[in-house]
Amino acid sequence: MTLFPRVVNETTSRELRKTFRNPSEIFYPLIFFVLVLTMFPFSIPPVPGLFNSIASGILWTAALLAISLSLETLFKADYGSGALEVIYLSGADLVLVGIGKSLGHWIISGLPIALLAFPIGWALDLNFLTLWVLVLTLMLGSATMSLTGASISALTVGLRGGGFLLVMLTLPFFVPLLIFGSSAATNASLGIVPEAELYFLGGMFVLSLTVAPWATAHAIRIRLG
Amino acid sequence: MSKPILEVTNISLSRAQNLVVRDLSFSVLGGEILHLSGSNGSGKTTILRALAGLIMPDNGRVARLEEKLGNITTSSHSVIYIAHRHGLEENLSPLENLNFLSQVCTPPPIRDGISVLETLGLKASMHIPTARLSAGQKQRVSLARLLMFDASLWLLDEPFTALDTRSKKQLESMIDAHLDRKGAVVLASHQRFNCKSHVLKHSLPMIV
Repeated sequence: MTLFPRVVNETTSRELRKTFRNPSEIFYPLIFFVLVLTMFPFSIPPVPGLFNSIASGILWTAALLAISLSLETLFKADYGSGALEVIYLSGADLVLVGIGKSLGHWIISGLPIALLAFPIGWALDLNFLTLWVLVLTLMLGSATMSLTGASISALTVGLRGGGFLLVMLTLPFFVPLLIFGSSAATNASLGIVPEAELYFLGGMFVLSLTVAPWATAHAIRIRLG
Repeated sequence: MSKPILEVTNISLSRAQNLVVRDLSFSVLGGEILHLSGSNGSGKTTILRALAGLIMPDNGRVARLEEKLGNITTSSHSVIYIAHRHGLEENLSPLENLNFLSQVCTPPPIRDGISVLETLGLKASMHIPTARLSAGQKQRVSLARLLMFDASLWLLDEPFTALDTRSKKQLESMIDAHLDRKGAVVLASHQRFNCKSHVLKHSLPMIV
C-alpha cells in the first residue's frame, strides 16, 4: 500500500492490530453512541414531527461525545508502558506517527459511528438525502476531531485529571463542527442544499490535517523531553 | 585515545521538584563503561533519563558526540535507553513490537527482529502476545533493541533485573562486544556483573 508514507501505514496498522486484539475498546464509543440515541426518544414529549426535526442534532451530539470520550485512550497505553518513549528515542518522524495515530483512531471510532448513523437515522425516520448528508458530515467532522483531538490527547496524557482536561480542551474545537454538521443535516431535511456547511467542514478538515499533526508531534516532545 | 561519546558538565537534576543530583560531571569515552551505584532514591534513573534527553537538567549540560559533530539527524538514535518499563505494547507479539520500531526508526536497523529474537533465545515466544510473557522474557525483548540498532551509547537501567543466569551472561558478553566496537555504556545496577573492560564506578550520594 503506497497511499501514505511508510511510518503512517505502520502506525495505523499497529493501532488497529492492538485494538482488534482487545475489541472491547472499539465497542465502548459505539455502545455509548447507540445508548444515548435509544434513551433520547423516551425523554421528549410525543409531539408529531418534533423528534424528526431535532434527530440530526442529537445524532451529531451523541457522536461528538462518544468520540471525545474515546480520545483519552489514544496515547494512554503507550505512555504508561514506556512505548511512546521508545518511539520518541527511535528517531521516528513524530508528525507521521501523529497522522498514523489519528487515522487509526478515526477508523475505529469516527468511521463506524458515521456508518452506524445511517441505520439509526433511518429508524428515526430521516429522509434519504438527510441521511447521506449526515453520514458525510459525520465522516468529515470525526476525522477533524481525531486529528485535533490527538494533539490534545498527547498533551494531557499522564497528567492527573488528564481525561477531564482533555474533554474540556477539545470541546471548544468541536463545537463549530457540531453547529455546521448538524445544521447541514437539518437544512437537507428542509430541502435546502447544505453546500456552505459542507465547504466549512471540508475546510476545517484540511486545516486540521495541515496543522494538527505538527501540534501532536510537538505535544509528544513536550510530554517526554 | 578514543573520543568522548558523552560529556556531562555540572548537571543538577530534580525529580518532582526535589533536587536529587547536584553538580555532577563526568565523561565517558568510546570503549568505556560507567557503573552508577547508590541507594534507592539517589537519582540513578533520573541521571539516565537526563542522558537520554528525556529530562532537561536544571543546570549544566549533557553533550553527546553526534551533537558536537552537528549531526542532528542521527543524534536522537545514537543512544539506546533500556528503562525499567519495557516499552512494549502488551497486545502485540515481541516480533510485532520490534518490526514496528524497525519500520519507523531512523536510521534503519542493522539487524531484523526475527534474527535478534532468535539470538536472545525467544524463538518459541516471538509470536505470542507480550502480555503472556514472563518478566524475564519481556526484559529480554526490551534488550533486543541493543542488537537491532546501531547506537554508540547504551544507557541501561537495572538491565539484569529478572534475567536468568544464562541471559545475564549473554548480556555481559553483549556489553563486552559493544565496548570492543568502541561504544560506551552507562549502567545503573545494584547487582554485580562481570566485564572484560575496566569498569568506571561512580557512587551517588544521597541528597536530602
